[in-house]
Amino acid sequence: MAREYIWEVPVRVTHWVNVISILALSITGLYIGDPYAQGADEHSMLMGKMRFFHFIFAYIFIASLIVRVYWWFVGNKYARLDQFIPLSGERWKNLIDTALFYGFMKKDLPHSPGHTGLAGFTYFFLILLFVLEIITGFALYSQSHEGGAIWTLLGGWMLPVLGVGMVRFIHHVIMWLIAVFVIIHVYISVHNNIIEKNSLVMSIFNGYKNFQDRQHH
Amino acid sequence: MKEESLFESLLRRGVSRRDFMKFCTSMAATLALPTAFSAQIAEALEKKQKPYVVWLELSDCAGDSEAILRASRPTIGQLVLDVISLEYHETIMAPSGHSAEKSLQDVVKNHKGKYIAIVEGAIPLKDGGIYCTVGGRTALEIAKEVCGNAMATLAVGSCASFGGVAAAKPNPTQCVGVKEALPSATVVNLPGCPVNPENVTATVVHFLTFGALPALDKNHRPLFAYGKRIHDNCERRPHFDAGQFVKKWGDEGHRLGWCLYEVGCKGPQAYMNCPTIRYNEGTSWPVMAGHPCFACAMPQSWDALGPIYSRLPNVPGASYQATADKVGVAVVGAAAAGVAAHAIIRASTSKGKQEDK
Amino acid sequence: MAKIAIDPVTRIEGHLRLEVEIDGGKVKDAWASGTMWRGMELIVKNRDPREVWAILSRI
Repeated sequence: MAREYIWEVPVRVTHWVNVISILALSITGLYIGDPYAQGADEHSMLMGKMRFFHFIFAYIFIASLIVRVYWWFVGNKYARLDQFIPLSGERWKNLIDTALFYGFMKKDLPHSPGHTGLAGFTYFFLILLFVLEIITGFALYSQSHEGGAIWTLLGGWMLPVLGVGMVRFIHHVIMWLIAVFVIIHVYISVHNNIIEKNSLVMSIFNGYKNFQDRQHH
Repeated sequence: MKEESLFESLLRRGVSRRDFMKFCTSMAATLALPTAFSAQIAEALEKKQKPYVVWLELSDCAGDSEAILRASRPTIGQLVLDVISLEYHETIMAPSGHSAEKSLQDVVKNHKGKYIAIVEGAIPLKDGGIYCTVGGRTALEIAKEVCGNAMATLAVGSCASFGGVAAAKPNPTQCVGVKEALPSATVVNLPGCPVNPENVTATVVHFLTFGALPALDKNHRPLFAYGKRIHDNCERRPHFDAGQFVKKWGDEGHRLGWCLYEVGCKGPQAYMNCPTIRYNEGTSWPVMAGHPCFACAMPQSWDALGPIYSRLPNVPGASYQATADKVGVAVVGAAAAGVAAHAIIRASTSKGKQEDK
Repeated sequence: MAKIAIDPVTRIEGHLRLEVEIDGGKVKDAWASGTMWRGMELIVKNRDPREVWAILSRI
């Protein structure tokens, strides 16, 4: 049995910062869109606080994304961009075979020391969704910062293009798409861990996977 | 009579010089100008000749005319609209038919390039524009001639600005605003359903004082009236920040004047000066009266922001009761169910595998 | 036989055209037509019933 260091510190830290941020952004975001509780009295500042924390975690989330994107280019081989976009035939085969296995159409899960091809590609699209969420978020934020050039640049430009109704709609929908992703992501991680017995779930905490008697490169 | 200045006409209507000066100061405030400008405004209104104005009504409900006419205690601002040389206005002028149209033609021909055109109502384009005709001519033809020869066109009300309620889905007559029908005309949009007459007066006064139209936004609306978000100037904003929302129509919160966000208020997406200058001589405005704002001054306001009493726009293609959140919950539920099913299948097939071994 | 058309009829809300056919000093026939239509009945279809008042008050 081999113990390999797969996920570096920046990868793991950004992962957990994302988890906490997305959780906080969803809880506060749901409130902002459709308040699910009433303030105790006129001094409660409940909506004010929800908005405050939504904006704070938005910036934390953006910082985390910037670090992770940077790490695409300087990290170890399991963190790099080629793990996220399948550019080689081998990577594509891994993606397809993994998908077929999940679909009960293949007997074995292909060996992927790092991300499976399917996981990597999914995360890539997920990051695109994150970026779109951030831009639409800034577009909505720009409405309370009239004439601020920086806010127009970051997302305000989208308002006259799509209309504020559509921008809000996209911002809401992406949160739900991320929620769907989270459900599948957590399930598959546990699922693969059980099947491969490779301490996959522990690896996002301590960085190490245990490989059972297998040659891998 | 026609060579009178605005000030002279107001004097004849019993307005004192003192009240006139107060009016000029309030105009400066409405126009978001420093008070020093009130002197310049006063001078322009005293010296300059009243402008000729024609008021066209196209595919309208006459709501904007009513807003200006219904004043019980007209402010001087509304008197100004009363005393400007209103050469043509279908709802209030004396002549009809032939003679009415002659009044219009007189201004267009004799004062070409020197009159202001005020347009109320949208312009239908479908089937050659036949869905609105006056004196045998289509609205489009009339607008082309009258606005084309005017010094400037004020599109008052949301219909003239963006098509308004006539253009709401499915827009049966293909109604559009004046600027969209006549892209080359000089148009100021003063939307609102109805427009706030104070904004019309202020625009006219600005024009008289500075010989130019006020600064406009991307939708050709004057920034002094449409530059600020309603949500940021609303008197119920503290209730929003505190998390005190009206949940159901007529509940305790509604009686206490709480924020109308949850019953569909579009204040966070709307830009107009309603909270500041209000309607009917500063009496009230929708939110103050307890009804959510539905962003009547925004382009495509009847469709773009969703139903009046809902927070979220509908999912395109879904029935009118679907909202993004309802669909979101359903989709997440489906994902959870799918994942559970997958787990069960996986567990049973791998059990099978174990037995094989 | 003479035909008179009065369009617009002013001092009313809305747009109205009146045509009258006169023969020997008497009205032989007359027509009245509203010369503007926006299709509000079509616009309120498929909407939340609670907002119908807001649209139709703009007729």
